[in-house]
Amino acid sequence: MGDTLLQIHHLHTSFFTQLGEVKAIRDVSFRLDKGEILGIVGESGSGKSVTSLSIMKLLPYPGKIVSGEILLDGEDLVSKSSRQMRRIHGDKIAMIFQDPMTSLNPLFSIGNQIVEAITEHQRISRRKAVEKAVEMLRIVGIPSPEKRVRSFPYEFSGGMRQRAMIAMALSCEPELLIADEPTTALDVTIQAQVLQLIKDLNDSLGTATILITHNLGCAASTCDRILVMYGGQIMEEAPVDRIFYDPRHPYTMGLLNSIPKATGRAALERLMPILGTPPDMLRPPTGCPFYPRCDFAMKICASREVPEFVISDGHRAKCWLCHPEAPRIEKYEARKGGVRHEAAKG
Amino acid sequence: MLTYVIKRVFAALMTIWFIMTLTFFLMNAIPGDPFASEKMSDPIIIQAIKEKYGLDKPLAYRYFKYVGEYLHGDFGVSFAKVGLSTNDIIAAGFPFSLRIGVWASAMVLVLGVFFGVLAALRQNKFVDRLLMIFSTLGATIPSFVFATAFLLLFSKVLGWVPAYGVGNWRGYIGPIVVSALFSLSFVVRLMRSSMLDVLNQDYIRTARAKGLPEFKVLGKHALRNAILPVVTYIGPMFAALITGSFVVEKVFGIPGIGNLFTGSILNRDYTMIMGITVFFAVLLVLCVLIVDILYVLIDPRIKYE
Amino acid sequence: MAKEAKIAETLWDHLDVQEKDAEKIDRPSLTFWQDGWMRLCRNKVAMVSMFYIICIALGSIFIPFFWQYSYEEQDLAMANLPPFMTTYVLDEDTNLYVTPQYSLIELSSEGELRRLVSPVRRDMVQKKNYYTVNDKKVVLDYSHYSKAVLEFRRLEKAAERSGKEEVDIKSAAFLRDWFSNQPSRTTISLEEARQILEKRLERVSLSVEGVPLTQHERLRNRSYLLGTDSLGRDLFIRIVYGARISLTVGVVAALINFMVGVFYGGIAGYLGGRVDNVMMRIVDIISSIPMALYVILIMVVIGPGLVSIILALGLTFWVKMARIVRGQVLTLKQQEFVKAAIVVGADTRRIMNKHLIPNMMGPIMVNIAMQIPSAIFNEAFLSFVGLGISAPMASWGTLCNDALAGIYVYPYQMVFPAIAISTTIFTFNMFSDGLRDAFDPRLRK
Repeated sequence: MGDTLLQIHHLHTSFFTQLGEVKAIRDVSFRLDKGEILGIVGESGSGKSVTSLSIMKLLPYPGKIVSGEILLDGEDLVSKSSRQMRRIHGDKIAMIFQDPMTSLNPLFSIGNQIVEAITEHQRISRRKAVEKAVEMLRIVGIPSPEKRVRSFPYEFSGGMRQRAMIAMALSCEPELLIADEPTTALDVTIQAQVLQLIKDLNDSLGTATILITHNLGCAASTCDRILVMYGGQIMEEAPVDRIFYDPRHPYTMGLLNSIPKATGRAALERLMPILGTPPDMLRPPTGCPFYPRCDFAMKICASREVPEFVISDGHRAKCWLCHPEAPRIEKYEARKGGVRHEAAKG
Repeated sequence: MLTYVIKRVFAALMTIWFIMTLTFFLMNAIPGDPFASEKMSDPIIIQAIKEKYGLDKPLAYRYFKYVGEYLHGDFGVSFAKVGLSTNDIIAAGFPFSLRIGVWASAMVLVLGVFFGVLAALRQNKFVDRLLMIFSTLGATIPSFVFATAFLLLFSKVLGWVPAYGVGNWRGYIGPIVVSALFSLSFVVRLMRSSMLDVLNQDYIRTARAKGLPEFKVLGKHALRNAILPVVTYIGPMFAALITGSFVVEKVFGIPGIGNLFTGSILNRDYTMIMGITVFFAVLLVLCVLIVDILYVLIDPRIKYE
Repeated sequence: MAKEAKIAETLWDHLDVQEKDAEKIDRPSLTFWQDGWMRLCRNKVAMVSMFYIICIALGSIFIPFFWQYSYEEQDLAMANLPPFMTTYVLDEDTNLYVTPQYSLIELSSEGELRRLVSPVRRDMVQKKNYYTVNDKKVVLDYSHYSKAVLEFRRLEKAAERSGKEEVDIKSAAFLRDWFSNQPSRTTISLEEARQILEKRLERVSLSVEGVPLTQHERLRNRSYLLGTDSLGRDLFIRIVYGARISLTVGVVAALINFMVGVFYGGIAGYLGGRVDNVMMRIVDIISSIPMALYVILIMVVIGPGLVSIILALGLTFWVKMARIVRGQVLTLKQQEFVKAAIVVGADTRRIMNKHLIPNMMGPIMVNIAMQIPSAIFNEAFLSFVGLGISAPMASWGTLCNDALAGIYVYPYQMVFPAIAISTTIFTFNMFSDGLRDAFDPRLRK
């Protein structure tokens, strides 16, 4: 627990389309400390990518930050102009994206693209910048970096490309690295390598990282804390082991349950998906966004906005079940063909 | 890289040879003598002429003689303009078409890229819509309409350009502008759609995320990728422009080779037709070759495909 | 964060959520054609274009039936008359028009042409023509202009010798007359003098019994809607006829393109592999020969005329269609539903007809729509060049070609056919753009 690097307060982001205002993020607040790895987990459409793009202020048209604060080292980013943001991009906050093949310009060498990032933010001779680029490639584990620095993206494999992206992102020693689904487009074995790399770099360079993924397993192995997002809101936030051993939000529980298990008695059971589809953000449901798919939904969930409940230090959840007057539920048990729901009024 | 160039050169030579052969056989497949329209009906004279031009020899013999002459750069002698060699006639007319073609190409390249990028950056706004309307007009309205409209407006009404010919440098303005119009419209559209495609690509987002200033994002990253389809188009376009358009040359009174080609078709001047066709083919193949090499310099991926 | 308001007991009850609702699809599904047609109708530009094309097509079919002139009727006396004429008023129901060849046309005061007036006497020396119209003696004097031309030449030579750009107004009669109401000016530049001579000076003057006719009236030519051409044929009906020909050529050539292209491309795509390679190589070679050569060949073999033009156009542009069809077939072959059909046991023909062709119709239709204006364009181009239709049939291209010679003096002969061509091709293109947006959404800009 170091000092706070990033603070998001009540962020609202919407896309103003021809059909209306799509409320992608509704009242999101969280904090990131220096050197921490924070995971944001959610389905497609939950708002996790939009959160990261909002922080970077790289929202595509017609997206806009409607209200809220984004404080980086105490400075509010929302009010900054694009010119001011450009100085931050790459230098203070760096971002890597999902598909490394399309995220690198195919017509320029890797070295060229890394050097470009370095010389943009630092007063440094070109030769030194190239040396730095080679060094970064070495750090991320690319063999023969002196030769590879002149190679083109299509000459790299998927995993190596993502490493090169990471090298490029970290070349200016940013305080924060945002990784938006960095392993989704990669093979499973390569995924593990890249995640390990991110973790190692976080250890050695101390760069705070936000890791965005839809795969809870990825987040578990790499992150210190996890945010679970759904329907544009944060459903639960907790340190990584709390999420796994004491989830308080039915969505989190559903996610954990839908992970196929390879060993033990659980391996013989049916897969338990969460039925239903994500909500339409053009007309978000009242109350909790998850209630149409929630096995434990109560009448209050559909009618009233859910406040945040603090479970313990660093663990909060946005669920009416956490209210002291809510019915206690038994440990969430999976049964063949259904769910047993015991509610005892408490 | 070298192997790539050699392969392309070889392919180019094969194409030229093929076109030569095809043209030769097409010409000889046409029934009727080239002298059918001439007034001389005396068979003895016709026979004498045939002997002189070697037309009485068998096809295969004539074919090899033809290829041999062409390899030496001798395109034969014109039938219609008796006494003049095809080479001389082409050499006399080409410089005019060349001059017009070069300027028109420059205009297309500079203005086309500029307006295409502009339209892409201001997509769906007024400037974009205006440019799209103009480019549709330029691409659909036949060139002779433009040529005559240009003449009427600028020569008759305003008196800024001469009515005929290129004695005065102003006489070049009309032909250059009208020749360029069609390709210009096409390039503007092509550049615009290419640029729009590129601007949606992930690497543009990456470039912005690195904090690069907008002019670098557009000028370095976007432009180089977007211009590739235009580069491909430029090759054949340049060849077409420097070989002149019959319409433009007729309306503006330019003694170029566009005029020559269609004229020789109308006159059934076979050696001229063949000579000019081969000349055109060589030019085209050369231009495409140069462009292909240029393309590889910009996009290194091609070599590996 | 405890709530101040008490939360009712019932709110804690379990909520029965209709799961089914979450997966319901709202909109009714439309067939490909319905969907496309709806989209097309919403496109205003395309609708206007379609309307215009239909008007032209109908007009070209029906107008010749009731129009007073035929496209080949000649009246040499009435040659080269524009649709708007600047005339002199002779008396209350007669006006006179002077042609650029200094002939006299008598018209009614409404603009109906009556006759070409033959001169009673021509005086070539004095440069005067004498006519009798309605019992009046009319004198056409064109000497003034020729004198002015001679004077100007003298001024030119003098300027050349002396090296000066300025000329004395007093030294030329026509300049004296021109500046008679500006006594202060004594010199003007040579260029200005030329402008006056060529653009401003009246070429002729008409007088009746010594009294010059000064009243001018701009009349609309009521005998010929758009004027006449060099052989006295009505330009309007020739343009209408040209519409017939151009539209016929366009549609038929596009259809030939379609049939040959679909056939060839379909086979190449379906058979694939080496056959496809060979067929495409052939196509590449065929398309490298300039179109003009094909036209010549066909014309020599079949003879010039409408049929050969249509054939020539149809046989040179099928390549693009073939490529599109082949591409489509290749893509569709890979699609799952085709494989499914094969697995189920459908035979080749059924696969072609029920699965492949309906899915290809989108781009094919769009391509046909784009071939029509292209064919019209090319036909006009070929006719303009001289390789197309021959006289007396009128296609828009030949009309423009005929008009080219006299374009400075009779610009209207070129303007109207040019407008006809341009608007037709333009609207066709707008329409096919609309078709493409409606039926082939992948290509939407």
